[in-house]
Amino acid sequence: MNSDTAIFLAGVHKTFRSGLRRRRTRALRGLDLQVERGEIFGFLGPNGAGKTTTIKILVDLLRPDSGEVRILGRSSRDHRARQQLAYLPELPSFYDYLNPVELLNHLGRLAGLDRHTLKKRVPQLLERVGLDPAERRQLRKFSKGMLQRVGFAQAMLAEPEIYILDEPMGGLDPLGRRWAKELISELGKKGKTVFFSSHVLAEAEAVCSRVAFIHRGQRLAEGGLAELLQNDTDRWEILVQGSSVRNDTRVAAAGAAMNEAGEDTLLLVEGESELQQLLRCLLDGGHRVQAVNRQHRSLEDLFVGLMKQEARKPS
Amino acid sequence: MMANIFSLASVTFRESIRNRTILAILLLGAAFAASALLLAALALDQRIRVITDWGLFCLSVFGVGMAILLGVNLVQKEVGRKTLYVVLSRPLSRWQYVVGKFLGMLAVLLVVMLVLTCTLIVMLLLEGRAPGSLLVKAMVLSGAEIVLVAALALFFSSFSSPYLSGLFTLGTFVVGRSLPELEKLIDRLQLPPLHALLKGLFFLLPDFADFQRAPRVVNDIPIPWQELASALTYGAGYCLILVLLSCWVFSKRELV
Repeated sequence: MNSDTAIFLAGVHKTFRSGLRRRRTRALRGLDLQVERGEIFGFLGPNGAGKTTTIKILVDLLRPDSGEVRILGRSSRDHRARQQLAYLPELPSFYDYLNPVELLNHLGRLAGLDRHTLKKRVPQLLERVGLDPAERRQLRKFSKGMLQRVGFAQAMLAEPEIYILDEPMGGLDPLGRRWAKELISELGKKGKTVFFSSHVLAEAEAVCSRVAFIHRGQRLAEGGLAELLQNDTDRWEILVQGSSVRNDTRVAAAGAAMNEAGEDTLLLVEGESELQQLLRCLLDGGHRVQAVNRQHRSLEDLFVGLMKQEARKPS
Repeated sequence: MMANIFSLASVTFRESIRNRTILAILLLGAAFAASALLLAALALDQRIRVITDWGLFCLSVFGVGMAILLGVNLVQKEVGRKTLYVVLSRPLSRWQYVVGKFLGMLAVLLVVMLVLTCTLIVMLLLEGRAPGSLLVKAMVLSGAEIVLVAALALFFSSFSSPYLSGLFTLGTFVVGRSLPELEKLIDRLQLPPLHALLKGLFFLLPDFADFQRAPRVVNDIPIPWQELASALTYGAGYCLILVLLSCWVFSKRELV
């Protein structure tokens, strides 16, 4: 850990006990994680992987059984650590009978903001999240998406250094998701640290500078997006006009996987020499090649690959 | 620190007072207290006694009921609905949260008590009788009892579900109200091994009978100031212990 470390977890274990027989569920098994200042960090994993447990430990809603958890160098148990931290829970819920202005004033006072600052900042924030027309409406009358926007507004209220967002795109419509992505990118540009969990890998891919995959309470992979998505295999897609190629035995013998693409055919092949050989076969066979593209590896591919590897391991 | 507690108390008050269920119960309580006039019509020459007795009964029943309803939901409802997540992620200690919520609840209970006592006073004034110091003392003791029930509900709600907290609070209240009778009963039963244990348990339980002065008001038996001060000191001390325990339990609690 250095002075640029925003979030630091080392060897964090957490076990829950439930039921009459106090059955143990190990949520985190020695989780290590380090997020530097100014990073947009995606914390990814399947349901039940331990993402929300980790986030709750960071904001001191849960306490780890063992391990070290630090926010900007301070222990997460120290309430001063939360001075530079904002938290947006998954599908947030607020006081039914307050309106957004009252809620933000209340949460702002708890964050240590004075009346003068709040008077200026609250209307600005409500306008920023597009809720200014509903500023006097009680929160119980808000839709899920509107509550998520209130969640963003309360997180940005004290302009802290670190933003911890649990499934921030949840409850938002496609326009709302785009808005949230832009907001997260904007926070990153301002030099803020954003730590967010998500199931929507494409969206994480669009905004994150670094990601970590977690499964069964352990980190499976962590790194910069470019580093993780670097192709370790050459996979190519070839779009061939028509369906006659599907009956060509020479093409089939070249080892290409064939898929229908409307009236056309999509061939998949691995390796550059295999690609050259296949292209020769196609041209010799009189097939019309429409496009040749190098296949891009996505976070989803990486995630699925990691999950398959994990499934093969003995539990 | 005080700003945090004040803000939490203010939000708790506003959130409760705007809740239609709470308002409906409050109006029902006031209507019940006002119905004393109807009962008084049946009582011929005992009109003032009936109005006073019924008014104090309504204050106690609706006040205690409201204290249980608000107290058991105070923390648990926020845990269940996760509304406290964004609050506790702010730089404040958990004890500040508990104290703020408790003070907000006391403000709501104060409104409930004011409405019910004002209704009783208006009923008496309509009968041509101004409320005397004896009635005011009984009302103050009833208020102290309501606050103690609220602290008890807060304590149980800091670690158990609203249903269980309600059950525990109501059970403790009923036992606490019957402590003198229960003590007489175990003295009479002569069960040496159980006697000391039960005596110890009764000592720990809140003595709600200490706040029950309606029969004295109805029969015009004075309540000495010393007695009033002693009951209030006991109530305040017990409340303080319960709030401190609630803060301690809640600060240890994990919010899964």
